[in-house]
Amino acid sequence: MAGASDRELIERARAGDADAFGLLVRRHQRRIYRLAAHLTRSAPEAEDVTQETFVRAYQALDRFDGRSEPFTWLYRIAVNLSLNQIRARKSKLRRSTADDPRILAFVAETRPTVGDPAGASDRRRIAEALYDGIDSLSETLKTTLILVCIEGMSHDEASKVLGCPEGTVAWRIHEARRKLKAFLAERGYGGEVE
Amino acid sequence: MSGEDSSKSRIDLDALLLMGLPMREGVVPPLPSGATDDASWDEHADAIVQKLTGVARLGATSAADRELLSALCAAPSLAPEPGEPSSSSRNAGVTTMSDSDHPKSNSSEAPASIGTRGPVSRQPRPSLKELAERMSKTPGPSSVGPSSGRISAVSTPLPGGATTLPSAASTPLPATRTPVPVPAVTTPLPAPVAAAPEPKSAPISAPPPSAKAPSATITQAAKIAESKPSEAAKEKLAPVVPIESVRAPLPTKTSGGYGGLVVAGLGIAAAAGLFVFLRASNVNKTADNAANKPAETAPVAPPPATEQPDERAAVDTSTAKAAPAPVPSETASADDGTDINKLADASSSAAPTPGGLGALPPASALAANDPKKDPAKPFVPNPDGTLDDAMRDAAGNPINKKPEPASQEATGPKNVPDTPPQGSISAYVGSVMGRAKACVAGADDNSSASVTFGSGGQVQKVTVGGWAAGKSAASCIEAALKGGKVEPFSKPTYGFTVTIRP
Repeated sequence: MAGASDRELIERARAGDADAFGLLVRRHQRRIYRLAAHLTRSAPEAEDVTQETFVRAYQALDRFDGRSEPFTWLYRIAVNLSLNQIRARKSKLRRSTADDPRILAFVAETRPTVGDPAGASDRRRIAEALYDGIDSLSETLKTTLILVCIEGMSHDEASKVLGCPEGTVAWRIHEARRKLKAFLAERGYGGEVE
Repeated sequence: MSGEDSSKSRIDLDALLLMGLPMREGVVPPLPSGATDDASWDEHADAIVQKLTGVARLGATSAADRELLSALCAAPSLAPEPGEPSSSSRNAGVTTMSDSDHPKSNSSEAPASIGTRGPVSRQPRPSLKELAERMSKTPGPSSVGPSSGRISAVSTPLPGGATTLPSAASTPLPATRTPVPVPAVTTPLPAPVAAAPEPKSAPISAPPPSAKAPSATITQAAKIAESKPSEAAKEKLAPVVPIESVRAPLPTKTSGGYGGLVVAGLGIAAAAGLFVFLRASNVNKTADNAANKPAETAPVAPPPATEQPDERAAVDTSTAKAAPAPVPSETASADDGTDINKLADASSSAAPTPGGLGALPPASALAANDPKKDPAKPFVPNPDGTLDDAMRDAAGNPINKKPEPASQEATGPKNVPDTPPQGSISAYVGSVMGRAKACVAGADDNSSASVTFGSGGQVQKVTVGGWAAGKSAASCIEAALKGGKVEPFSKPTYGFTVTIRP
């Protein structure tokens, strides 16, 4: 069953195979969690969103019509839940970079080699500036940017998740990148503003 | 941060923004517990699966849950960005910026009765400024609308028929339209005709249902006017024209005025071009005559055309039949006594610099054909004496012009970026990702590939990691990723890692 496609797993889960859905969870939970972490900027909330995403997806298995890929369907649910989470808390979340899961992941990814502490510090500052810039974007641009540039979705896949034309996704990515570059340039990074 | 650090950051950020990606393959934010290992994730998945055991599927859920599920499975409600292309216009194949700029204009400009107007509804959408002007001119709420100006402009002096107008149509009017003596208007026009030019009044004034016969009369008149807007209305409106000319211009005339200005401008430009052409031909003929009679010309030896700082002076000089000094255009025109020179001078003066495009071709052509410029050099007339040849001579005739050293832009090194442009890499990724994904279809986990490009843009090396590493899919991915290239760059190599999801 490990080699089964997502669609096959969905079909089996529809038929009552809980293991199939469990495999689907194992296959996609990290991506969903990563997406939620980037949207909510909170590890606990991202975990909640991840669990809720799969629970809701399981409840709505019969609603999945198979026209899109299962993972885009899961992404859509996760995006909706993340946005609900963000909107529910309004602006009360102002976290420090110390517990920002994105920063933590970035630092873990770019773990400095021995003898390069200055480089590590620079990379952390870059990450903070980058995520500050992403957070400064509107909800629309940020969501689209995360889906495409961080989750690695194609424009077509992102358009299916967001329910908008592919051209709109492309426009949003262009706009988000432009604003992000301008933001970073203001902070002394880059210096080239489109 | 020092400049070097900043430069380094820029490079890093470009890479981050390009792939976006601090979060590459396998890099997932740690769980709230701080764990990142597979075992923790397995436990996390088990916890989720256990939660599912008590979860009812869709059919067994309550109505509220079903509604919630519908909302969750629907597209996220994200507010469109300002300036974002609207999906409707994109889907329709027509993307107009005005759609997004004036999202409410359509509804405000499309009253319920607009369908009765026929061609009126196809008129170009008025600008905001125009709308604002009309709004400021219209006093009452009854005349609110894009065509209120037309209503008041025409309906003000309505004759005895004015008594039949509904109150909304005859409401207070701008003072600028009132001073026309009413009898002068009313006498030659029968009531229907007077009402004819105001087809917009009926729908916009929106007579109340209580206004029966009068509004019906107006509506009929309006329909008559609409049925033959270009014939009957124009003929019958002819006597009104003098009166209208006394008043403020109609909006239609205003909008047509711009078109008229454009046409007039084009006509003037065409005439100027024709005059310049004729003038150049005349000058060629003059030059031919001068070449046949070199003794008659003054022995003035101006510098060669390629080195002459003021080519316009050369034009004027030759045109003025070899005046001894750089003759201003007025002198030349005085000599010729024609308007051609004025127009030509005007066209040449449009270019502020002597080397400007507007002045260069004819001036150079004339300078190239000027036999006085270099008496020692034989004059080579144009074979057919056309302006094209004159321009060719001026631009590159080896007889009259020495080859200039190529510009630095042409000979200098190409502007090759240090690294491939982001668009180029995005295009590359987009072109190869489909094939690469096909290689890992059905995989359990993501794969990654580090792609290294040579400075020519070709793929030099592909290193496959993740799920596909060591499997047959690795060679498939490698082949897929080598199936594209990026634009050349100056650095020896450039590489990045791309994640390939199944």
